[in-house]
Amino acid sequence: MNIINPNRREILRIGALGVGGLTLARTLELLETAPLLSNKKPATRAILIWLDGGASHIDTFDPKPNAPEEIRGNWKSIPTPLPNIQFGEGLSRLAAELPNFALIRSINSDAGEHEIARHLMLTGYPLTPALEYPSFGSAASVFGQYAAFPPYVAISQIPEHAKQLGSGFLPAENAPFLIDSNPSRPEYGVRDLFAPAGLDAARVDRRKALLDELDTFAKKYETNAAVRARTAAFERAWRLIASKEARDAFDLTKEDSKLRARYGDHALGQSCILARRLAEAGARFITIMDSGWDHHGRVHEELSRHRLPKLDEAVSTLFDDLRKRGLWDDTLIIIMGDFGRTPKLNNANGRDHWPRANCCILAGGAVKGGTIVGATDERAEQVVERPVSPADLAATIYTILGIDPDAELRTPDGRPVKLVNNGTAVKEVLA
Amino acid sequence: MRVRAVLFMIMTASLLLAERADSRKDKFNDPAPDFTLRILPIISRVGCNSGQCHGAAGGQGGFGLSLRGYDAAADYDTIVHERGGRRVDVANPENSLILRKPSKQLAHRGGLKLPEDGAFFAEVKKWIENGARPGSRAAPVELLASPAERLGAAGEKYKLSVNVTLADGAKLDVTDTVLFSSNDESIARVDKEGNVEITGSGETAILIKYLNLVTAARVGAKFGCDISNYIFRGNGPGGFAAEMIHKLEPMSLAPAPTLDDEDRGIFYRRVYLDITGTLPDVEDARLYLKHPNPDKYKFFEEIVTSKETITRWTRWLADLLRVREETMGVDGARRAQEYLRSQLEARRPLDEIIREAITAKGEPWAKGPAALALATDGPAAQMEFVTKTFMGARMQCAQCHQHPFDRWSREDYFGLAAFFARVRRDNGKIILSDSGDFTDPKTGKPARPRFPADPGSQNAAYPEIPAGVDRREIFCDWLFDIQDRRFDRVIVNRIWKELYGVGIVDPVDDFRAGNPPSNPKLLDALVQSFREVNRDIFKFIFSLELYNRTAVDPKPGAERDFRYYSHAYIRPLSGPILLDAVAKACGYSLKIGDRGNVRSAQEIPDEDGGNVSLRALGRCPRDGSVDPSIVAPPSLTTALHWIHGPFAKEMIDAPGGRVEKIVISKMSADDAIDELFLATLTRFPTDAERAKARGALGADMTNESVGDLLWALMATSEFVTNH
Repeated sequence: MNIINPNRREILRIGALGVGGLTLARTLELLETAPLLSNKKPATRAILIWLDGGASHIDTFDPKPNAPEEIRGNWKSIPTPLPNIQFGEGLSRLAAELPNFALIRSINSDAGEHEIARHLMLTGYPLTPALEYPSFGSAASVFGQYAAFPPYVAISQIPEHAKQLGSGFLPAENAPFLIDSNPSRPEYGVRDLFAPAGLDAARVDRRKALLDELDTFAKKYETNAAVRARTAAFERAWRLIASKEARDAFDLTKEDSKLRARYGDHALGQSCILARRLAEAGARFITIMDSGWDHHGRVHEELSRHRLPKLDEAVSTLFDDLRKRGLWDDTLIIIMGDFGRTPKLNNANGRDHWPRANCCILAGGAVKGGTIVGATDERAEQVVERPVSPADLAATIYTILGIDPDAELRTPDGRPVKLVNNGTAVKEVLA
Repeated sequence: MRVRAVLFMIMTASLLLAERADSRKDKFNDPAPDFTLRILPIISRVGCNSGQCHGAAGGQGGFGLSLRGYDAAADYDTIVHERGGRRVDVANPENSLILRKPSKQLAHRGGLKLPEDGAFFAEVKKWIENGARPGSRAAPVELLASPAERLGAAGEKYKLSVNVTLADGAKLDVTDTVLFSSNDESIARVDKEGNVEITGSGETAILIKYLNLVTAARVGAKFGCDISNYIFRGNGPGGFAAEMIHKLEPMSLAPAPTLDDEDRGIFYRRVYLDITGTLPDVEDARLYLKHPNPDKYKFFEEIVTSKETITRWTRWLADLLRVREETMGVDGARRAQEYLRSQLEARRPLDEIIREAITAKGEPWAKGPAALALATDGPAAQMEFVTKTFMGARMQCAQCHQHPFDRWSREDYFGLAAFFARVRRDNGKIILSDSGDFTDPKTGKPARPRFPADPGSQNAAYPEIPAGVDRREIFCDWLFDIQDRRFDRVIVNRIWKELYGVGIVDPVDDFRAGNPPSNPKLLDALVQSFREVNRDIFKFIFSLELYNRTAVDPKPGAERDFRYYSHAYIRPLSGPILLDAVAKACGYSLKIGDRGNVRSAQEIPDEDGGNVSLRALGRCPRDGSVDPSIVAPPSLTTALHWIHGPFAKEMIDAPGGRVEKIVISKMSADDAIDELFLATLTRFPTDAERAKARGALGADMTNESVGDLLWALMATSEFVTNH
């Protein structure tokens, strides 16, 4: 965005704070027509758990117990409550939850490199040098008013991977509020959320009052884009600071320690409980980047020792917790990663990148639990039933959130860009 | 299959000829529509080959066309020969898929594009009836819009007409098949037929596309100032005033008054921040503000040659050349930074410095320029970086297809990348190979170095490059000296944007017909001056002499002028300048980097050197993702950092810092207030402000009360912007 020379579109965009890319009228129109789901209310918030690096589909949610050993390895499958549906060993709690979520086993693309795959899966658009597309969270934050709480929060300890969680061509106000600190560490904290030692809250209040008095420049030039952007950022910060509840949402020490332990004493578990706190406080899209899924070597050891027990305990506890707190019905939970992995084990007993087959879990009250969409062949190599593209998945996510996938965003140079191009929502998963 | 289709076509064509022998006279008067000049533009006009439909990289529903019809030969082949000729059925034109699908006789996901009763449907049908022949006319070379320029008033409506000139000199009216789009709908709207409606003040371009040709018709509306009392002679404020001002009268813009003696503080702070990237010392500012008759000229001369100025413009160059540790290594980035600094100190011409960067080779850790070659990797990335930054050409689109808004073709893309095809990395060293080529994946052939044609001509050139000569040198000869002074225009425009906040061409990396300069005469004059001072950046800035003597407040009617410099614009300070300004205001000594040896945010040989404040304030990501001319807008993270970060406590409370010194000195409250205003806003407080500040300081000045006042002044919009 050209901060000095906003064209009228941008003015409208800024005028309706938090309504990036769209004129106010158009957004209202979209919100009016929003309920696309026939019988249930759409989800009002989403928690996306990103398995960074790409989880092995054949070892987790699409096992092939009858495949030859060069494919299967020594990995076992376990039953689920659904007939003929099995999961990989180590996912017993998630297997028991299957009646409560939908599983797509037929995501496929041709993006076999991490950065390209991240962009494709997290925006629904292929990576092109010509235009950076907004992530789901940024695009979704266009459709709603800005309340006291940041609408879009990303929890990621890999800042370089967080690029694909950004606002793309949308204004910076649609970018996520980034938490780059690991919530399972004792030193965890959100930078600058609380006053440093020696600066008490009363003094910060006095400063705010003094600033209001002295900043006559901001009042005189309130229509200037640079001034307005600064004022808006400060207003958001003051609102967040003013609400103890909002700030406490980031503070995990306020949480019951037994419940924290049930989520698991690791980055993913504590990120999930943090996400639930943020959801309660008013965040509308929360993305968790869980690193360490790129298993080119010793895939089964890595999964059984590290990744799967953590995933199983964190996510099943999250589901349970959301239900107990009455958040389940209007929350959408998405679990996915870059791509699947080569069904044939490599020389290092690992698996390489395999974009032709990938899985995704969708959960929450707006999703029809126990739905299995699509299938791969007996070697988990090719999708043989109901292929779902990343764009189809994007359309599904927006649809569940009550956002029309055909809605148009505008680039700074005025180009209309559809939220989703060439994708159709997977209707089977809708409750 | 193809042979069969062609044979079939010839057979049916001869049948048709026989059948229609008696109507030959009619046909002579009304020749069959030409595929290239007529059918393909119709297909583009109704949107079949748009990026969202069959023009997408992988096509749509198994039918892929070139984006907006830039490749007529390939599209002809696809339409007539692919699918066993089912798309076009010459024997039975009504059966052609190309008619049945878009008219929705058959299911078509793209919707109704060619209604059966429409003229376009009839024309396509006629083309098929006449044998579905390939285009046979001379190639189209130039588009001409009429009126090419129009300056009117909001609410005015008119229609554009468009002619195309063919290589044989023939002209055709193609208004009904071109694609129109407006660059800025807040100034003018255009519909599919070319009906323009002026909607607001300012100037913009209506972009017109036809096959692979693009042109722009300029349209604008005057602003609403009362200019009856102004004499637009530009005899007032120094360098380039005449060129700046000549554009105001036709746009009905009244210039804001020039800054007079009363406003000398505004002038002083503005110029100081722009040129040196730092805030002035309190005592210097006080002397200047209180001087009965300050010598502005001398002041300007002094700061243009100061050490801070070198630092600030070294950073500007390092941003442009993407100096960063991630790609260049810690030593390489430091060498590169030192090298740029030494070159500016030596007052070397900018084109020579940049040529050396583009053609760098050797050991990056030992030699500055060699590290600069590590900014990007591979011929495509290097070419895109250099052309975007120094030619203002966004070439990326042309890698896959004809550029949708510009004149670049795929041949241009690969031809330009070929100049960078022989750069190699050998154990971290940059070397040149005397063989190896960049391959165009579409043709599978090595790309030959090629200079794109000038606008409106077909004179693309393949230079002869003798063995042993660095191809990049040949490219630089063209970039710096031959190509329409393009480098000079781009670099001068970039410098101008640093000083005025908005480029004469803006965005500054997007020079093209559809994005013309707001004031071409001014840009020409600046380029002239830049060449006269032998591309010495400081002499050039000095030639802008007292460049910015205009007040911020616009005259009534000029409030929405963001392009013509009728008044000075308020612009955000960039992260590094802001961090240095905070440190200076606090009297705090910055220590950045692992060894803590970098003392200014503007001296970091990296985008942030790991500094948390720079990350929170926003810095230039030197990876090419954002143009360096764009200042990152403040975010929630930025604001929290102001309120709770090091600016709030650590820097304000610094031992030996400004707050501590003020309290220890036991100076009067009024003196303290003066000092704090000078240190932050470079001015004395108004009476009202003084009263408020006194109230904040209370009867007894403490570190706390002085610190709070300093914090509040630094957090104002006045502090964080230049104006």
